[in-house]
Amino acid sequence: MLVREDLFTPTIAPMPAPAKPPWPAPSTLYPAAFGGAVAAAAILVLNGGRLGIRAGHRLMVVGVAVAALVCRLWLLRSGLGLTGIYSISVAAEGIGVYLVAAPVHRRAFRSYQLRADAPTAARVVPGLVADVSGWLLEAVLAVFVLGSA
Amino acid sequence: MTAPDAGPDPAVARAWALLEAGRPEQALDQLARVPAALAEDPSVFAARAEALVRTERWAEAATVARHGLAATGPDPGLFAQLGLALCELGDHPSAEGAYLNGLREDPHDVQLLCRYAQLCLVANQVEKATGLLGLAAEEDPGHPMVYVVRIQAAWVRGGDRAAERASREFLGAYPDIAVARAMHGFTASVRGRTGTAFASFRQAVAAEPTDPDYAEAAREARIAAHPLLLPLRPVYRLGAIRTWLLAAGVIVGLRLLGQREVAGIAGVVWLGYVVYSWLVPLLVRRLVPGRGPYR
Repeated sequence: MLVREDLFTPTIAPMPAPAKPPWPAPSTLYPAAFGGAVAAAAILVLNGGRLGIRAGHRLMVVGVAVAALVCRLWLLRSGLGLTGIYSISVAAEGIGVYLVAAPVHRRAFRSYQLRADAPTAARVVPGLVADVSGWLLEAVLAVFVLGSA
Repeated sequence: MTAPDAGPDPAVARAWALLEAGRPEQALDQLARVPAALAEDPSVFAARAEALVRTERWAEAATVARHGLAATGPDPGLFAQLGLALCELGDHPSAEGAYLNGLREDPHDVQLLCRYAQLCLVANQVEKATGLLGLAAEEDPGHPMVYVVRIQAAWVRGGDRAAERASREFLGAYPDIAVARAMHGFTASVRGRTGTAFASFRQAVAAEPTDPDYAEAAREARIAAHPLLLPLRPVYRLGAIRTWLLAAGVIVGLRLLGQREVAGIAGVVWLGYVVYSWLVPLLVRRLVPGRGPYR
């Protein structure tokens, strides 16, 4: 809770333009939903850096992504029939990671949009790269985990 | 900023009248006719800085405000203009310094409190912005700037409904000013009400035809309201996250009910819909002309 004196104390640090503009926060849902936890974490961590989100939050996103990935692999291994809805489980995993990060990312992106000059980056190619890498990594892990069951 | 004083010369009064009529370039012409003896008058600096702010000539506005402060001494209005110009130039710490200097002169200045709150929103310091907004609202809850910052603060926090409510109140209190129309259009577009957004931005353009930001916003709203984008209205209204969760829920539900083929078709349809949402807006953007008229 801020008191009146706090409101009149300087707190604004320089806000240099990011070396690379951020992606619009809502659109990071797409690589997350198509690529799963690995793609989601990659895009969200990169975008978090561009939006100036603190390192602790970015680490938390990585932690949630690892937890989601482990959870899905465990469910696959336990034979709950998830193999039949492999792609849906990947999407659910990615959307879950996105939802955890979304409130902080949305707020940071909207603040960024209020700047006088707030360009955004094209997102199709990085999204596709994250998705393909995420799918490959998840497929290798799934084969490894299911193969050792 | 409104006219602080009629000024010592009729040209200054005419300049303010032109500013209020949304003709800042002509106001600058009027100010060029002010006699040299009055060039150092505070009202001349204030009017010139305001005209430069409205024409978005930020570097010149900052220079004039600085000269005015040096020549006439501390003035909350000039500090507000200096802060805004510096903020637009990307020098945020200096902008904060200007606002704080102004607030030391007059801690009750609503415009300074609101501008400082906006700067805090840009810096993602939403709690501080809300505190400053509270102070401004205590001074004058019906001030247009208070409405604008209320809407922006609610939007940054993610309270899109609250922002829309505040914009309706703003429009109710000031139905004739362009910024109220524009803020109403903005919150309508955030909530996916594309038709309302386009109508509001058109009215804002009609009220201030020279403002390029309103014209650009009207074009964006026209794109969103294009008939080819009608199938995307559910995404605009519900938001991408809810739409995705709904789609995933339907597909998973169908699979759990044993309808594997129907679920597969639903998945393909959904994928097609997503691709449509990526490609067709790009096409519509090419179809809608870059320039108006959007009135």
